[in-house]
Amino acid sequence: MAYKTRLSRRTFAAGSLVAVTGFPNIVRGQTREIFVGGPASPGLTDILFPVIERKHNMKILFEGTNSLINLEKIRANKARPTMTVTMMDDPVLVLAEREKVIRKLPADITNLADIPAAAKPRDAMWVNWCQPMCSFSYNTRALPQGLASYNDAWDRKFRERIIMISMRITQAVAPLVAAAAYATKKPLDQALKEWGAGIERLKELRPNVIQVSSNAPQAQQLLETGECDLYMAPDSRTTLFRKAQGAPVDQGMPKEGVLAMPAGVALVEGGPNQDLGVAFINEMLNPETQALIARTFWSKPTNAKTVLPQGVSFPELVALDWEFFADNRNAMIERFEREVSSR
Amino acid sequence: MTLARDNLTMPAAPVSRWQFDAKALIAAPGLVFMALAFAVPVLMLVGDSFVDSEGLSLAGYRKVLGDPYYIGIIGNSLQLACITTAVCLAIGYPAAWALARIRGVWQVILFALIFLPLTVSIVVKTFGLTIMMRRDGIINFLLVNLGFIERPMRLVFTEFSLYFGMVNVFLPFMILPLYSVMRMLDPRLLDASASLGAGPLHTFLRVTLPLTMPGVIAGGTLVFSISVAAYVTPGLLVGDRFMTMSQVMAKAYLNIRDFQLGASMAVIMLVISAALILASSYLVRAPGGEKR
Repeated sequence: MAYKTRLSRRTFAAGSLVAVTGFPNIVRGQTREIFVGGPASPGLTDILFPVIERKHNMKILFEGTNSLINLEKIRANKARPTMTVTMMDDPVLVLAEREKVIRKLPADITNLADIPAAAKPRDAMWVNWCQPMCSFSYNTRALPQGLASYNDAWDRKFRERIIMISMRITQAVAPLVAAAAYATKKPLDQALKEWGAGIERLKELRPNVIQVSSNAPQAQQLLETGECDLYMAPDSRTTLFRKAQGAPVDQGMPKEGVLAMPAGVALVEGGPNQDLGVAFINEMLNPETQALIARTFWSKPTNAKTVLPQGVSFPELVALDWEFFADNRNAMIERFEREVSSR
Repeated sequence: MTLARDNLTMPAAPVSRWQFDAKALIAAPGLVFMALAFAVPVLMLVGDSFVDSEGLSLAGYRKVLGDPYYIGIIGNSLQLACITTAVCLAIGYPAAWALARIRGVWQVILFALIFLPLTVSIVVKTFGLTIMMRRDGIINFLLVNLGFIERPMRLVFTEFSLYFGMVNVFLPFMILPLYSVMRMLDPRLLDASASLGAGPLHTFLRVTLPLTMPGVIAGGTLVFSISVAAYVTPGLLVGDRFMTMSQVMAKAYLNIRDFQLGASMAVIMLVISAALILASSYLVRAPGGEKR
């Protein structure tokens, strides 16, 4: 039996209008989005984020850049924040807290309970989702055994064989602290406050340095192709990730110690979809996800309940006073560029 | 008819240089756009250069102009722009001449060779150059196999690589204005010069060069202005060893957050570029230039 349609043109038009205006919202309602700013580390967008997206039915819009530029973007949008979560180094998060652009992590992030206090700085204003290792990276074809000590880099045999990263990038603290430790005979964790002596020592390294670069991917590429033997200093997120992909590079394990780079994650004050931000951070701290982080980013997980994947281990890492570093960073950049980088 | 003929024969009434010409209205959309996209930000920048955390201050200019380190950086930028402009002119002049004189398929090929690189991003081009200049790159390969050097030499992160890269990026900006002037040059003038006994060098110095000088000035100004402000190419090819004014601005705004330092450096760069443009405008109108 056939039914006669009683759809009037007016009803059809009204229905079409609802469909056209409402449909995108329905679709958006199914998969909500958050905007995350963070480092341009390999493995984030292709390995870690898809896992979180699937598990929490969210879409992560990511912008990778260095921490200081990330902070500048948050600051510029302070009146109307667009970013929900920011992933930055601790020294930059110190500045973000002072400028009140991040908010204290709420108790809804239940995995915070399993994170040691040292990894939840400033009463959980942010949390370290992992601790990448930072020392130096070397080309394994040129140096199959690596270097036993940071001090070996000053050897004349490395003349024009070293690329240094600019002091504008946090990882540059590794050669500075190593130089200060040598000059003052103090352990790495106490040598940071003697950074002036470190600058003096780094000046002696200049004949060995072919370039001081602000472009980490380019420096990494030149290390891998043998244009230089040593790169001071990317962290394990880059070096061991590339090693796992077959690049002829390895992370230095000098006798003085390896630094813990504090990779932090925080909620942006007033950012949209805070509930998704909470779910995102909680997932980053989940022991299973932390195990994935350990083998993807070759970085020490911070959740005490994490079971490390087979074949993955970490030495005891040296923690620095990042607040001191944040307070003195501009002076370090200025002296480094005038006395170490310049012609 | 009489009126029209009278108009043709009567001398034109003197026109005040300030008298409004309605044809200027055609430029209105462009002027509005440039006011919003260029003039307003520049004014804000100039304002920032005179303000610090305590109010009006000249501290930014004192820091830049009173510190040998920053003076050296201004010197680096000027050196970079001067050498890039000179090399682009030396290479671009004959290329533009060839482009203006040849015809047919070879002109198309030459056009493509010179201008297609403009369609490739500067970042891609510069990264490509670092690959070419590595010890295992094609330049070292050719130098070794042609017997110029015994073993590969370091080319990346040298001033040679910087100038090579800068010329590679900015050469088309020199050729284009030169070409547009040279194609208007009447070739019979050169024949006339030769028929009066002038040799090729004399013809070039006394006929060709003066008549193409507006193209030289325009191309030189263009290349100098954009190379003095170059950021990506020096950063990738020579890094922090050769700091430029643009790198100081980036550091001031993005790293050390000294906005007054960044703004002061930007204003100084703007003054250098503006002075050059005004000087070139004067030169074009000066005797020997395009004075009408």
